[in-house]
Formats: sequence, C-alpha cells, structure tokens
Amino acid sequence: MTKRHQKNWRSFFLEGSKFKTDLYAAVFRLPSCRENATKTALLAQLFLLGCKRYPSVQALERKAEEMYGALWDISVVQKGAETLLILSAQTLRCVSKQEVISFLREIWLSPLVQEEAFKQEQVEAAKEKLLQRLALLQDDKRYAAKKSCMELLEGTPMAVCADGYPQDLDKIDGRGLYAYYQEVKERAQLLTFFCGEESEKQTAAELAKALCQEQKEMYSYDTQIKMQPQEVKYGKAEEKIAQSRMAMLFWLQAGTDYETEAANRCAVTMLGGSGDSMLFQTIREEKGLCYYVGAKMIPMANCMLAEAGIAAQDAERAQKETENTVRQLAEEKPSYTKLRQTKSMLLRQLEDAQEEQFSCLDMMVEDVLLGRSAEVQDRKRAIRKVNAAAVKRAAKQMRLSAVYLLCGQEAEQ
Amino acid sequence: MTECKTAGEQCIRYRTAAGLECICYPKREFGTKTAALAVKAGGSTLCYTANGRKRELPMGTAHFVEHMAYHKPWGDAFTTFAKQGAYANAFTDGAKTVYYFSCRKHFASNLELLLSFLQDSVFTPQDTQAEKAVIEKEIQMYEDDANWKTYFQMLRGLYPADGAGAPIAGSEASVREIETEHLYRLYWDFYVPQNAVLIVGGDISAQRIFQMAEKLEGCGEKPERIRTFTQEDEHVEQAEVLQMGLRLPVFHMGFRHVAAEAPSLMRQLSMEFAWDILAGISSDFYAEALQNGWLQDTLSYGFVQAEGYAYSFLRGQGVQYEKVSELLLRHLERLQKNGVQEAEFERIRKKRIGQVLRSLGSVNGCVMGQAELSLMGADLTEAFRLCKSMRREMVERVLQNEFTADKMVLSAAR
Repeated sequence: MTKRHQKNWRSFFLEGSKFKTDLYAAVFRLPSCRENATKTALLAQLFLLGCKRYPSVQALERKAEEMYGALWDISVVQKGAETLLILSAQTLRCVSKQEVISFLREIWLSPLVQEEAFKQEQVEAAKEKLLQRLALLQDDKRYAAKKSCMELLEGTPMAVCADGYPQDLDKIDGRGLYAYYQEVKERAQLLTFFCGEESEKQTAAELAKALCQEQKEMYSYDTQIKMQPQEVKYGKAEEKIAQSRMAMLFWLQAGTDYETEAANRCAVTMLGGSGDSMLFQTIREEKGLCYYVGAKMIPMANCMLAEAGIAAQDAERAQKETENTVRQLAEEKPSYTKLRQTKSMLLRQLEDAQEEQFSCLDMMVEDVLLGRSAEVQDRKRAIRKVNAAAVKRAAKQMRLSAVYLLCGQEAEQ
Repeated sequence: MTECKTAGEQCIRYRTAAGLECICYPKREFGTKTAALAVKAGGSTLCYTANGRKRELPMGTAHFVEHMAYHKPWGDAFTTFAKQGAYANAFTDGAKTVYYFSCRKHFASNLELLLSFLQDSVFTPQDTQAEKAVIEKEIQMYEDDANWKTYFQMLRGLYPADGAGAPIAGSEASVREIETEHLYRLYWDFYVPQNAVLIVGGDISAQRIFQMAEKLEGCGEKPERIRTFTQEDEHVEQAEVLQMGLRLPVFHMGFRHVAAEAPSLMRQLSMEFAWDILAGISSDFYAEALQNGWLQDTLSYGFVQAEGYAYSFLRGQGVQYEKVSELLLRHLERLQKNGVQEAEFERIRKKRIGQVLRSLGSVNGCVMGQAELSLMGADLTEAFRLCKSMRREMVERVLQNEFTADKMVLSAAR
C-alpha cells in the first residue's frame, strides 16, 4: 500500500494484480448529521440519473456496457460518525484507465445544472426514486427493525439514517441541493483508491486530481462514536407480518486500535457470528425460538447488533436468552478450542476479504478513517493475540442500549 | 479428463467411474479454496420414477433433506466444517440442492466431508420432528418476503397443474407431512454420484480431487423424473394481487416457454441476451418505464430451465405494475417486428463477455457460476466462447419464438 497526502485529498493504491478487474473509488467524507442526511442521499440518486455527457440512466448504462459491463455506482455509506458518499467503478483490466476516470469525472463534475441549480425535473425524479427506495427498504422487516432500534439512540450519530428521510424532501429544491453539492466539493476530504496492477498505481492520484477542485476549509471529523451512559431504550410496533423481528443494540468496549477491535470481534463472533455460535446454538437449536438469530458489529460504531426472527410471544424469552448469553460469555472463560476456532475463522474471513476487491476497499477505507496502519499483518497479529481474558473483558463491557420489536400477526391473536 | 483454457483460465473436467462429474478451476493466485456439490433434486422434485417404481413426495422434501444432510452417524457435519476452519452453507432451488464450503486450510478433510453428503447422512425421527419447527419458522419468514411470495405465485400461475410452481420449502402443512422415510426416499434415490456435480476452485490439484472423488461408489440407477406437467397442458392462470400492507408494490411477470428435453447453455445465453435487449437498464422499455415513474431502478430478470420446464421472469417494484407489463409487451412486439440493432447487440455482447470474465476471475465466482450451469452439462469457458460467437439472428429468433403474451402471468403484492 502506498499513501500520498496533499491538501484535501489523499490517494491509496491496493495491490490487485490477481484480479481480472480494476476497482476505482472516490470517497467523499461527510460528518454524519441529521440535517444533511436526506440531501446526501438525494445527491446520490441525482447522479445516478445522468450528467451533461450522459444525460439519462440509459445513456449512462450504455456507456457502462461499452466498457464491458462496468459496474459503477454512487452510494451513501454510514461509517461510525461519518457518512461517506462513494463513487466507484469496477471494470475489466482491458478498459482504458483514462476512459474510466473521465467517465467518473463527467458524472461528478458535470451534472445537469441550470443557473446555479440542479435541473428541477431531475431533482423531482431523484426525489421520487429516493421515496420509492425508502418505501422498499421499510418493507424489508429486518431492515425496519434494525433502523428503528438505532433510532432509539437519539442524540448519537447511530440514530442518523444515511438512507434519508421522506419528510425532508419537500424542503429541498434544485438550488438548495446544488449549494449543498458545492459545499461537499469544497469541504469534504476526498479519498481515492485504485485496486489494480502495481504498474498503474498512480491511477488513484490521477482519479483524485480529476475529481478534486479548489477547496475551502475542510469539514472537521469526529470519527469515533462514544458509548452513551444511558438507560436501555425500548421500542415496539405492530405490522401485518407473519414473523416478528427483534433487534438489540449493545455498546462495546471503546477503542479504534486493532487490538480492541479484535477482542470485540472475537466476542461478537462467538456470540452470534456463525451457525456454531452461542446465540444460534441456544436460541435456535436448543430452544427452537427462531429460524435466524445472529450478532454482528456495526462498522466503526463500537456497537453490536443482535437480531432474530421470532414469534411475538417468544420475544421476551429471546431477549432474555440473548442477555443471558452475553452474561455467560462475560462470566465464563471461553474454551481454548472455541477461541482457537473463532480466531481461525476471523483470520480466514480476513484473508478471504483480501481476495475480493470491494472487501479490500472497505477494510482500507476503515483503516484510513481510523488512522490505522492499513497493514493486513497488523490486523492478523491483533486477532492472533486475543486470549480468553480479552474476550471475557470485551463481553463484560457489552452494555445493552436499545431493544426494538416489530410485532407480527401473532401479537394480535 | 478434458481440459479447456480460455481467457487465461483453465477448466478441467472428469467423470468418476461411479458417474460423479467433477469440474475444477485451478487458480494458483488465490488462497481460498471453494468446493460445491450440486445434487440434481430440488423443490420441484415431487414425483418421479426410480428403479421402475413411481414415487411421490410432499412439497418441501428436497429442502428438508438440505437441512438434515448435515446429520451424520458420528455427529454434526456443520460443526465439523467450522472446526476444520471452513465456512459452509447450502441452498435449494427448484431443480437442485447445492452444498458448499470455502476454506484455506484442511481442504482435503473438508472435501471428504462434503463428498460424504452422498453417502452417510442419517435422519432420525427425533431430528426430523425437531427440524420441522425450524423449517416452519423459515417458511414464516418467507411469508413476509414479497419478492418470494410473488415469485412463487407467478410460478403457480405459469404451472397451475404441477410441481414446478411448488414453494421450495413447502408449506407449513406439507412440512408437517414429511416423515423420515420421505427424507430417506429422496436421499437414496437422488444423492448418488451419477446425479451430482462436484465443483472446485482455488489453489488445488485437480488430479488429487479426482482421486478423492473416485473413492465414492455408485449405487442404484439415476432416477428418471416424471413430468407431472405435460405439453398438452400449457394453459397459464392469472394471479390475484396479494395484500401484504407494502409501502411499494412488488411484482413478477413470468413467461412460460416450451420445455426442452434437456437444459442447454446456448438457449440460456440467447435468452439472457434477449432479456438484456428487451428489459435491461439500457433498453428503451426501461427508459420509458423510468421516465413515467413506473419503476424503481432495482429491476431484475432471468431465465430458468430444467428438465420439463422453462420460464423467464422480470421482477420490479412500483405502483403501476399493470402498465409496466403492457409496456413490456409493446416493446417485445416492436423488437419482434423490427429486429435488434447491430450496435445494441454488440454492446450487450460486451457486457455479457465482461460478466463471464468476472465470474472466471474469482474463486467463488467460478464455483457458484458453475453451480448454475451444472444442470446444463456446460462450463464457464464454454459460456465465454458462446458469448463471443453469439449471433444477432439467434437472439432475434428467441425474441420472436419464445415469448407470447398469452403465456404471460403477472403476480403482484401490495
């Protein structure tokens, strides 16, 4: 990996000669805040609709097809206390680098604008698309339970939904959105990444230069979310569904270093990271309370999400069992064999991720945001070093912060 | 043994004495190793003959076996995969069940375990009863999945009189009917080497894998499926709109096609080209539907063929699904009348070549991509060659001959 730092942009190269594709990504760092969430989500939708050179979805797609079916996207991702607007393209290696960079540049720097405002018809179309997307997401009950659970943590960046809010859309017009776009261009730090062959490593910097314009004072970033010492929040809603969904959030021990993350990850994985995990074995296999149950870390948030699909009448039991399982891990040292298995699973996942371009990118982005070395060996070393005491300590520091239940039809019976 | 090289990638095929087809994609530059075992029995395997006897099974039997196949005389194979450092999983679709794992170490032990799925799984009445509760909860989960519900409603409309429309996991009632003997029936008849394909990718020795696979002994005869759906019974039934309290309606449009004797790669690819041209993001249909605000952009489509049935579908989200289906038929008619533009065809060819090369470029892409081709007796290198040699007239013929409005079903949920 090589780094280069120059003013408001930084570029990174990821060795990727084993892949048949090249991956280009431009990441705009935005502080996560409620007031800008919908504008950011809307910007992404707007850029997906076209630019001056490719003024429609059809024109954009035709260009992507010409580039052997390039996979390109502009998306919004929540990483801890930051929201990232990510413009990316994955193309076969035979596609010219300059062609891809110029394609991404057209999309980002030449949107459909009229007199210092985005064209109103484009904005309206983007709003419609965003509304539909939000409705679709909300119809996904697992997503809905998770989102509502996170919203219980009011006052923390966790509660901000990067997908946007339908109620904000009426207040946004082409001029206001254009002003926000200008602000993002001027103030957001730009990180560019290129994953490809060593001989092309300068491509990341070329991408940054192609996208970066004159900048003003950069946003300030507070990347880490800190644990909020507050009482557990509960939420519940009823919908017409066959299976109830439970989401529980736990704060984890704080720390951005590889060692803390590795201990947290081991604890979370032992709890609910596989079919062999404690939650799966207890709640599904032993008690037969659900079809799915699991736990995972929320990236860069020092938080664990445990979720299950259950019958409404079993919700309380499932919640208690989850808490008991966390307590059990905190009280009893994990067996040597179990810990060894968990660590080898995490190491394998890490190594597998190195063989998938988007996963490589994701890990690198987190490392850059958290100011870590971005060396895979450091991550591996931290995992290998985790011992039973560290897992116990991590489990002991898990604090239940929110519980949300989306109830189904059984609740009414 | 046959060996093919294309676009810098190698594919080695071999059939064991017992009839197990093995397909290997050696990829020295990757550390991960993935193997999949595809058994040709799925959700529509409900009625067939084996050894001269007709068998009938409750809906959901193949999927039930998928859950239970991990039960071994010595313990749980799923846990053993985990202990041996492998990530393991399985899925069942209409025509096949696929078990797979990926690992970096202990590959031989894990492969041996995977191959044992064709030999010694054990189903006890107690385990069968316990698993019913889990599967019932799985079915409940699908009940909230509008995509799943509309897809199977569409299939029931396309094949109202037979098993092709059966839900893969079955219904809560059919799962209650399943007993240990049903599981063994399907297991003994279908879980035999000559009815399965082994696919392996990564830094592996194909020779070593073939040697291991050779140890499996054949048993019984390959079962012959009875087609409960007949060519005479080709009528389709329109579906009702499901009321699911959705914020955004979800729909599937399905076309019933003439079933071929056996699935073929050429038909698969020419249908995929045809769908790209008809309804892909770059198509005029899509542009018009989007312009009118009738569609969300997460449109998808596909062509599915197996022994005895063939259908294709388009899935979308939007309030105006009826208008979308009318629009699609109008654009179909236009293409049938005017043909396909050469430039458009060449663009789609490039896209398809790109897709195959992407699959060939990763271990998981090779193995899972190959699993999808396993019923066709084809491999990814052939897919690459056929994409390159595809002719516009072939796709035009597909558009003209394969699609008719009276064989279309619209299935929606609100």
